[in-house]
Amino acid sequence: MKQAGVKARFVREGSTKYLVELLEEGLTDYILDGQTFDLDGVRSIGSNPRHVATSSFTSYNYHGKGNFASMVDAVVLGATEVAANFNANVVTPLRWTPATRHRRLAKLPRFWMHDSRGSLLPRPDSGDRA
Amino acid sequence: MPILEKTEMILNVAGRNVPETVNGRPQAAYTGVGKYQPFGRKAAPPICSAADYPGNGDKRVADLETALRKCGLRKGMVISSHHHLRDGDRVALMALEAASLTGVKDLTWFRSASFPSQRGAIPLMEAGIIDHIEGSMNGPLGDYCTQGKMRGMGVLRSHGGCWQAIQDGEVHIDIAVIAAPTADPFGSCDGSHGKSACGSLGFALADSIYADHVIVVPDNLVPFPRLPWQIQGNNVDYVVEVDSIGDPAKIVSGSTQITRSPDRLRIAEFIARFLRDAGIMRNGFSFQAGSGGIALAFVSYLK
Repeated sequence: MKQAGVKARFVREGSTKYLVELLEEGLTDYILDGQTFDLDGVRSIGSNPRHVATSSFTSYNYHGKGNFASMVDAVVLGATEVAANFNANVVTPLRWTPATRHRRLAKLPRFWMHDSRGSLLPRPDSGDRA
Repeated sequence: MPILEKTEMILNVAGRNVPETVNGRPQAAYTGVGKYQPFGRKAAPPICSAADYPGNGDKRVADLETALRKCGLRKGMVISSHHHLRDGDRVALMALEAASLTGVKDLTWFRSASFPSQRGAIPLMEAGIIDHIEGSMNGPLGDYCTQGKMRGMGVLRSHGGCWQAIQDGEVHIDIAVIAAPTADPFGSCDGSHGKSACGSLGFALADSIYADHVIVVPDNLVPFPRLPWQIQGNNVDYVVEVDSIGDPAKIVSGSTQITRSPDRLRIAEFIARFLRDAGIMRNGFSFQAGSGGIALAFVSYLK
């Protein structure tokens, strides 16, 4: 962004040190924040009027007159599994070793195999996220 | 081991067999993006009278047990709490343990996310004080649920889905217990100031608007008015001041550390390059990067 001289209009939560740095360096006009992930985020939301608290009503509620989710240009989301048609699993952990993988795959219900086109990716990240 | 009630299964549009009823309530199977047309009017809390609340605006009561009793806590009720203090939260467990002192059973715990520090809820579930959790089950509570040990059926909801379920009346919160880093005696509160500051209280907002009863639990009480407020005191029944609502250092839980793994950093770099080369990264654009090491590293590369 710095190289290209590009600035974002807004970035979305959860706020972290990294998003706060963007805001403080003028690389985004606003942080629209639904949850605050670290103490740099807490300091910023408490002192910077361009770091704004939002809610799941404004951000994601589908039974309403629109929400922010459809107005965001790009989202980076961690997932334990991704299918060819971008269906993602963020619910169940994937802690399989190559040795157990084949055996467990054979036991999975058919729809699971079909959905992932038979190709399960390794778990990209660890830790519970919410 | 409890036996789940038998339920009819129905095939949804994604090809999954899903139950027609969950915890005794009929469910609508997924029919495709934007295909389901909601109907009716939003849920609402009862109409109250200011005559029933202190004229001086001081809603403080001695402890959580007293507040829960005054809210009419009884068998089968839904109690909610938010997760903004993440792994540092103490209030949710305090509330559930206070509820257990009243001898109540079969509660539903509505929770936007849970963390290892809430593993103390497991004995309460084993004792039948909590029947099941709705909202989100992470860490030890997720394991407990996955192992099929929970009495009722756990219901996992997205963050937006939680608000939707509350406003649509799919979940009716009887008592919301809101941990508040700063509040006034009237119940107005916000999360961005005080010794336990955790930032936004957005996930508690729906609870404060739609719940029958709302209890605010601060460890930093200031004189009215608490400004700015994110939760309005006009929606609050009782205020219970405690010594500590939690450990703000643990707001930084496992999911908010940048990754150091070379292959994950490489993925993050690819994402940033893709956004640049695809022309998504342009003046006035917007993005969201969640928790998780890759998403955090991506922000550094994009910068």
